[in-house]
Amino acid sequence: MGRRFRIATAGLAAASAILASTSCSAPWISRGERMAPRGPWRGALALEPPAVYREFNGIDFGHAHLGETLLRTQDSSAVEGARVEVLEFIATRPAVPPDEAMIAPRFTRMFWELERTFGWAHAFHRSLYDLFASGRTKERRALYEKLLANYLASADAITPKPLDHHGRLWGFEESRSFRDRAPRFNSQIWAYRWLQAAVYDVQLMGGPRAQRERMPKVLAQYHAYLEEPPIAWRFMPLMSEVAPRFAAEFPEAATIFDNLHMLHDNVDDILSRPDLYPNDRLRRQAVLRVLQIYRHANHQGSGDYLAYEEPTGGGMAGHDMGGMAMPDMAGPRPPSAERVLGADSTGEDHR
Amino acid sequence: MRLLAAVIVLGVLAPSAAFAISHGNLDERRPLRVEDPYPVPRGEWSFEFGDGFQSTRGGESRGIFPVEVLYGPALNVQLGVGTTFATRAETFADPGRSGDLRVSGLYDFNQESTSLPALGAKLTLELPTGTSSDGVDFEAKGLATKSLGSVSFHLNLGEHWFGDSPGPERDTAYEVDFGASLPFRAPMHTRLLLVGGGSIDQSRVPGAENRVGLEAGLRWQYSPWTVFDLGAGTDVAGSGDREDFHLAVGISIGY
Repeated sequence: MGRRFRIATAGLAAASAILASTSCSAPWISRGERMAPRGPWRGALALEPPAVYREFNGIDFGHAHLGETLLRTQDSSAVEGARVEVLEFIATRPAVPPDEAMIAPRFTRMFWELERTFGWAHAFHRSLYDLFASGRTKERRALYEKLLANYLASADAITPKPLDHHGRLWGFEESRSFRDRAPRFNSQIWAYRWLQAAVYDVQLMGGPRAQRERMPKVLAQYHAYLEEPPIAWRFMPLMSEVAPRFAAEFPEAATIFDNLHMLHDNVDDILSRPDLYPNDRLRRQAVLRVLQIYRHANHQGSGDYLAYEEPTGGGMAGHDMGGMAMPDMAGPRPPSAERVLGADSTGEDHR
Repeated sequence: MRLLAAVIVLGVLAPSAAFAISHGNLDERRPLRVEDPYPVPRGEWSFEFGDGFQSTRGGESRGIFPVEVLYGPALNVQLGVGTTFATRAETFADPGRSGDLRVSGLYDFNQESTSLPALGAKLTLELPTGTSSDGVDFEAKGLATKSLGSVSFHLNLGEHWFGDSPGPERDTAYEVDFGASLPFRAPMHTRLLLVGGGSIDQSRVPGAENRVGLEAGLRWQYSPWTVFDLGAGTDVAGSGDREDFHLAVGISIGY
């Protein structure tokens, strides 16, 4: 027994080593988890103002639950049921970021490379919220650059170059599928992004005390969107529209987050088209193909992926042409945080 | 000691993080023996403390206090340093002695996919720094995790080399740990993880009955950086001073 067991143990170790060093037909993926940068700002958002932090935890659930649901079913009532579950989860005001691997076990196992990319970008997102909530106004620029450099150093980083959102990245065969098949869920997802952008501009308008006073109006607008999803929007909210201060002051981060959100939309569209991607292998191939377009490493120097960058002269990150060249930009667009705040947003208040 | 207290207080009270410590990952004895191949993320520290009670068929009972620090120095790598203190330290053998310094290294080969399990390897060195301790022990383990839906199944196969084997006892013995974990009421609730499992330890005396144990427990995410765990178990087979019952609580604090 002892000898047989030792042979089995050695066999397991050898199999592990062989599998690790060779590529096989099944996906062999490095887990590759990194810790978000440590600093005195970390955790500030949970304290100032804490309501926003809890809303963001709800949003994390929303994205994961959608992905898992679309892998399981295309039934419109089931997808609508999942949307309502997200609202129920958000209503619990979760104090802890949910574990996405538990919410979406199949999705995370099938698209781990994508999960790493999402996770790393979300960590960057949260680090910036923490930094802006911490009231470290004088050091803000230097710390931002440090956080950005740390983010871009990872192979999972999304490019800070503006990509062709309205053209090639919205022109795949499956593009717009999720928007058109599940307009309420899609608009709810876009409402999350509206809040994510609006919070940045509120943070940049003033210090912690001013943020606490102004944030309820923005949160009220967000909850109005959750109650009645803004289905009149035909394209996702953009950082430059909702958070113009943030986009002007921190353009690299704003572009990374617009790209991140576009990647989310591309994935939702792929998962909404079982006619084009009828099995897991094809879905995975399609998701990985799209993911490569967004990777920072693929936008250095030359290469095929440069064709997905925004054409020169696009202006306002290539989105603002009055809807003439881009029909999806015609009609109502998301308001800026400043517009929602109205008179409350005049001037900077560093309290 | 003050530093230790500060870490605990900060971990319990600190409300936020960009990332949270993962209560879904199983570390050895947090709360069960079985662990998964997943290391702490690169750059993360995890401070893990426990407090427990153990009684044996021989009538001995004692308190046990495991302490361990984990760190991720590189992607997919975890280093650990720890020990377990016990009351009645002279009779404690688990298999290390009370106060023995444990140094471990874990490497995760891959993330679990829909078809492949996650696989990892762990090496542990136990230095004879404890009470009545003699000889350096060494352990090599293969770790595997495969999930079906929300339930994850874990298997650890290990070989333990004893540095202080007296006369008739074996120099090496195998260990098997197995278990399953399930997030309770997922996906709507993910803070509570239920775990159950067992272990088989080859007897150190040739011909004697192997020790077989069963355990159950939970891990609860209290805050983004703090996970509490609770575990209990008993040996259902084995000779000598097999364990009658053990109960332990623990806390893991990420930094």
